[in-house]
Amino acid sequence: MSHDVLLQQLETLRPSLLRFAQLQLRNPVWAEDAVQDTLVAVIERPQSFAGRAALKTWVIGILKHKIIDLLRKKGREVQVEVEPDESQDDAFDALFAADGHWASPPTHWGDPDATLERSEFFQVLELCVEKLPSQTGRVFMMREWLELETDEICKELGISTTNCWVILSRARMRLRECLELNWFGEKRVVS
Amino acid sequence: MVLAAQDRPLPLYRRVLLRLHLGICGHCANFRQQIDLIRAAIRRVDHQGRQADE
Repeated sequence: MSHDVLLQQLETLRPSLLRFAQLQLRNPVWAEDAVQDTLVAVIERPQSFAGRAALKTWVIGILKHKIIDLLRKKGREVQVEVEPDESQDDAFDALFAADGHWASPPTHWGDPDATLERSEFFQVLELCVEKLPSQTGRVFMMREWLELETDEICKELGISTTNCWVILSRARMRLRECLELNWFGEKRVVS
Repeated sequence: MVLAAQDRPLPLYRRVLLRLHLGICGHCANFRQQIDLIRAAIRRVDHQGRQADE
């Protein structure tokens, strides 16, 4: 891949990189820094690639490393926003009726592989992740996108393990709700 | 327990209880499938692209 072609491809990738960085960091300045550092690293160490997809995967790999470095440096600086008073238990209990059964039984979401083939689904998913409150989104993405273990997450952000678990559960429940409303809709298919 | 299992290993007896329950409770099995999909989807997000990227 020639240098010019590489630069062109990186320009095409830049919006995605910024989007991912912002979803993770929730701070546009940090996101921009992370993407810049990534692009510099890529240009300084050119590799040969079979195709665009391979380049994208490699660049995103570097982005994740840069973001992890940034989080290690700045993790404790992130403001813990004041979230509406909602304990993990309240959010969870609301799912069930007094008799212990599901208040609104989770529907069957169909064939997961089919869902994961749809690019529109990923657009909705990204919007749902974006809608998460900052700290919730940050922790969730550190766990699921950066694939960090919970103790690493707690350490970088300076929060307790239990708090981490609560935040993650809350994130998953909100995402579930958001996807139910915005993608899977009112289908009540019994599996 | 489904949510907890995403982030930490459950003790064996809880895993057994959970599995037994999921075997008979269709609603809970749906819940579990939904939570698993969310994880699988985020893992694939890197390989997705808006039209412009591909």
